[in-house]
Amino acid sequence: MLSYKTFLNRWDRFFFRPEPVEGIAVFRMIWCFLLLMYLFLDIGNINDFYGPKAILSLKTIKDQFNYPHMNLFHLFGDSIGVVTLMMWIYGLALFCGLIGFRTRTALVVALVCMVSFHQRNIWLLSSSEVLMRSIMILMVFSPAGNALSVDSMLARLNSKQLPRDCSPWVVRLIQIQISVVYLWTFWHKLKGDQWIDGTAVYYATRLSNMTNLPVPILLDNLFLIKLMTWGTLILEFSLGTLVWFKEFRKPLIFAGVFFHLGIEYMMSIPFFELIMIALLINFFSPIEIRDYVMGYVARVKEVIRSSTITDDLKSRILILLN
Amino acid sequence: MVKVKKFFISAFIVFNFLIMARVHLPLDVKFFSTLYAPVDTYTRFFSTFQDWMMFAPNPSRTNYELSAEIEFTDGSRDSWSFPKASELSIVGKYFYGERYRKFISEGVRKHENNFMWKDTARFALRMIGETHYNKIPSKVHLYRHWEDVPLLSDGMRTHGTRPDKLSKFRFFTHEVM
Repeated sequence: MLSYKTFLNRWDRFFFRPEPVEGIAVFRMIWCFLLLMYLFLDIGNINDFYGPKAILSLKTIKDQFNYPHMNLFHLFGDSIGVVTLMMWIYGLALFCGLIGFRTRTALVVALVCMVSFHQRNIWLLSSSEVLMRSIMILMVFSPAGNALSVDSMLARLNSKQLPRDCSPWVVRLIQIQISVVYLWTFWHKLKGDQWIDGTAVYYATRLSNMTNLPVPILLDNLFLIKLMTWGTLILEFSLGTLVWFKEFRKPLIFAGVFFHLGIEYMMSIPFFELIMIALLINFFSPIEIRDYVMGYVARVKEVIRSSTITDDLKSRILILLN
Repeated sequence: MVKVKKFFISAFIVFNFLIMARVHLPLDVKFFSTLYAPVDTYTRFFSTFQDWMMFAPNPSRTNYELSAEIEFTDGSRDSWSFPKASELSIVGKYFYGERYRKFISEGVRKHENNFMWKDTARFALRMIGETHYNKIPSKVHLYRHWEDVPLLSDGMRTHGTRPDKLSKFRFFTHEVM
């Protein structure tokens, strides 16, 4: 039996023992970049989905959401000016998040804008956006701006250093969130007869509105279809459980990346697969990511040292890169 | 101070566990419904309900499309189809194809979402109206189109094949004025 004290110690070690922040910093950059791409693609949808002539009016949405929820459009209206301004603010916040300038403030602003856009018409959206919101809420609390950021450079210029080892509780919650996504979907799939008899991939890939690129032979062979169906179940279960074990972690991360790239190629579920791939990065240990980042920074420093720029400028840049 | 901070962070962690576990708990039991009152307020505020049922318990077997037909006061008619992801380029699918697919297949086609119908009809009217600005519309009809993917036992459909014929049903008429 586990004693209460042992449980508390393990809880403390798991969520609060300091770890390098480079992992969450790298994730911050990839995450904000992905969301920026998403926003860029959304610009063309201003009229159809968000503005005063959108497919659902703001009044209809307001009537349906008769409980407290975050949506700035209820405060400021849905004129094209408001929507455009909010997109600019959202984009700017994501860009600041990407480069790590006033990181926490930027992530809070991005969260508010993101949730507002999503709740403007939630019926257009899917699991991708639920994940975006859930992860963004956690990111706001993270020390993601303590490394690989303008914030950390500015601090160094002022002879300060932002903490490079912090409690990893946000990373842990993101990891748990990823596992939950895989485990829950695995659990629900076990209730479906098509997943058990091996035909689910056949039906999923015959929805013409969800088909992306053609996959001849592979998706027309029942034996391979069954392998893919059962392989999906095995992989989703493994990514929800075995990924926590040191021995399986890296092979599973790479298997997960190929799995999602495969779905991305076959099916049109914009951003979900890319988001899942980005999230899997959080299963690399922060020390591995720090070593990788430091190796890269060392190479950049070497290039700067051997360059022909003035010594004064060199030393300034090297301070920034420390 | 550190202990207090850790306590509140731990409480937030447990709170997140409750959000994640919600879908598997019997919320008709008084204990859980009481426990989940504050959790649901939070999840509704950010819309972060976590059911994660992608292609589960079974993938959908039905292709859905949506179209609108408009009647003008001079007796003429014209129709307009909502964007079909299957006919869009990859870029189009990324830009808006999946959004429309989701809106049609899980939103507007369902009777429980009839609050969307009037807005959707007006949206179609605006789309058609752009090319008929000199006519006066009288009615807008919304049609749902669907096709069930044939059972595998009836023979395999080659990947990438588009459905031949879709069933059609008029589910809403909007009287313009």
